[in-house]
Amino acid sequence: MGKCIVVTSGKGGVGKTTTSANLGGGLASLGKSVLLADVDIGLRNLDIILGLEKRIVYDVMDVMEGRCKIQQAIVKDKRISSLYLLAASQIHDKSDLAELIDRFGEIIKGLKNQFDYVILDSPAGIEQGFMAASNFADEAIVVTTPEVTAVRDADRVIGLLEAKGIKDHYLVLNRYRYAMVKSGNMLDVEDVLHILGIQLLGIVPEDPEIITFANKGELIVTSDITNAGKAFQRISRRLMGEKVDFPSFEEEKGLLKKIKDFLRLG
Amino acid sequence: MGILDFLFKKEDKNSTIAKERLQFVLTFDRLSINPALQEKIREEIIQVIGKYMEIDEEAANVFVESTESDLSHLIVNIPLKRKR
Repeated sequence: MGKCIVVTSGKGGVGKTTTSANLGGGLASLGKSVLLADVDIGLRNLDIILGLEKRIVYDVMDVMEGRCKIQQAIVKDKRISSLYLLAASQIHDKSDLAELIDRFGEIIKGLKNQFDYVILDSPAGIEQGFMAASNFADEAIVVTTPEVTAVRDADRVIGLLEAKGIKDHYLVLNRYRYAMVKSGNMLDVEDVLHILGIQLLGIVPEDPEIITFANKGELIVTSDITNAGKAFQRISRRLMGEKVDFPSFEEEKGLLKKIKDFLRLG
Repeated sequence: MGILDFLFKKEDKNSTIAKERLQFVLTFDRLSINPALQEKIREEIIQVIGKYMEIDEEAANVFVESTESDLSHLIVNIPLKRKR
């Protein structure tokens, strides 16, 4: 029996889809079978992050409404052999929501028998999409950035997850800028953890490479030379229960940054 | 060390302002109350206590405070006027 993990945040644009995709890729690279399911009906994005946008024939709504079998809607990743995608529908259907949510639950149950991990990329907000996704999750990953708006919304989501009885929830702190934290211009990780009262799964440093990898439809977690890629590798290992140290400032910096800093000082 | 402390005063940090503002809004968010309701509670408590004791209304203070633990506390601080 696999595990179902919902990736959520409350606020939009903090990196839910990027986190879902790279965690999925990271776990799959470590030998686990992973299904990534996009629950953002009407605004799907996991397909384009994975570079699979041209391969989608059926989506989750087609499965729920009986137009295809679940196996027909699952798309295999191009690069990572044990990674699979179930795309969200781009069309917002007006059918009976309660019934759809029930059917979605049945699908998740079936998928958990088939995969080690089922990762649900929740839509932003705390509406039906989030509720449906978190209804069937065993664990939750809350993504936030060190900004007051994102942290406030994350707190709201954590409250809702606890109300749903999801006790295992972890934080991914995204777009962390070590230099800004050091100069006292950004909430540091301790502040955020203290405020939210949640366990830290990992910190992803701000990294422009996230955008260049997304542009190509490749997962940054497959890159051993980017800071964000290494961060997602560590997060994936922690999620599997491995004890992985949190690297200090200097390690995150990278050689180029060190040289730049040196020149600026000199 | 003294000079350094002075130059890098903690309360001047931008991130500290963020932290304090967040803690303020989250205290109210979590309890589903707003600052206006807090003011209403303050007025009514003062009214009730004022019926039985002579109090310093100006200095009376009622506020919600989040502490290190999970619990928030409603702090009521009402100075009593001394009778001679």
